[in-house]
Amino acid sequence: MPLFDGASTVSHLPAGGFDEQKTASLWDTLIQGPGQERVLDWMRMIDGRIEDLDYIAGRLRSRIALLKVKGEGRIPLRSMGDGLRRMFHIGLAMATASKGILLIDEFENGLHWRVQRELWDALGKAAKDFDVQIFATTHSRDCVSGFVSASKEQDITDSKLYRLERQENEIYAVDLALINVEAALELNGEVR
Amino acid sequence: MGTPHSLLAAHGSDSLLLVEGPSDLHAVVQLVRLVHKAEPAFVGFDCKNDDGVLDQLSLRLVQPEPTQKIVGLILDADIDGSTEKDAVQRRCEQLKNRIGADYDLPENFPEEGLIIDPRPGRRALGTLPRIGVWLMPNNKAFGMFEDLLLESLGDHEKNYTSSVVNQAKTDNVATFHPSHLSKAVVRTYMAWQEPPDLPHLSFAIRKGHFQNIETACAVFLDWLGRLFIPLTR
Repeated sequence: MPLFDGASTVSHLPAGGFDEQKTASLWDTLIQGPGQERVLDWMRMIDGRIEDLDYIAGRLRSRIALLKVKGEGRIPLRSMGDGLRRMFHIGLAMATASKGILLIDEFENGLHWRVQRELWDALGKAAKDFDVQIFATTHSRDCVSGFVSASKEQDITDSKLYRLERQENEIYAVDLALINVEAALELNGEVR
Repeated sequence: MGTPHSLLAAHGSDSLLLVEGPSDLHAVVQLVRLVHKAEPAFVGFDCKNDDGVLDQLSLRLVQPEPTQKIVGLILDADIDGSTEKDAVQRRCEQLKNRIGADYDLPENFPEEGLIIDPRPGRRALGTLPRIGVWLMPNNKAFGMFEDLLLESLGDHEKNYTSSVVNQAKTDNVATFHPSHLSKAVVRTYMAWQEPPDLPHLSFAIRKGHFQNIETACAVFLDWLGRLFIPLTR
């Protein structure tokens, strides 16, 4: 698994997500092709009623994301839950990282534990489709568990799990075999 | 039992022996007592089956601060669907999947039992344990603990009991699976001794029913002694 090998872009999704302006401009870049629809598919993992998303002009040249929700009409994205917003950002980051590298900080932020498994499934498929290498950090056991299950189910052989361990000023990346992590989680052991 | 072979004790002890079932666990502990006239210094843990043994090993390799300094594994070389020839090989592959990232496994499984230390410099939080692996009965043949006990019987006792059990199989009196032949022979032999209703291998070992056990288990006991230092307390 070569690092940064021939990658043309490096996208970074911070722990707190993108700001509104960045989000809107990323959405705009996906106007052509299946990108926007794919991002919406990801958001539908959290809320199946989502039909569409549009931006409208707000005050002071800001732009506001409006969701079209079945049975509810148009609702501002920011008034929906944190999970949906996080999923929107992950979807945007992924769709705009084609043939590159995507860095996701604090993967689990705002995401319900049950969604994390589905999201890893989706990201696994998307990584192949868009040819993206994903680096994600987490403190969440559910995130690790979802990652391990998705890797196993999809038979992704080039997925790796590292634990960062600090000793004085050195940080070690400890390579954990997925088969061991899976067994440890099953036995309610600590892997973090 | 003098030693608490419980889950709690297993997690806290720095010397741990993982086995496939309660029968093997008590038999090994009894064997050590019989030969060394002292209590084993390791804590044995019944993992229910072979996958359980491997999973408990996995747990100890990924936990951030490993508690154990030494982890021993006793596995039967009788994986479902394996043959005489490939049982040991398949166990090696299973081991490699679990420990290959941190330990250098030898190309051929050592007949005197495996004892292996982790490659250096892999962790900041703690040191991975020394690992010992014994594949019953002798690290080369297909089988289980009872095959080792079979060798502990005198020739006459072994041959006589085996022929009777085989006859029972031929005459459709015995319904055990063919792969459990050594279990059936050992238990039949136990049923013919006084008292005939000993429920566990460990009781028969303590009673001295396996006359040549020290000789037959010498290499196994040597492996235990090289792995757990000291072996008894």
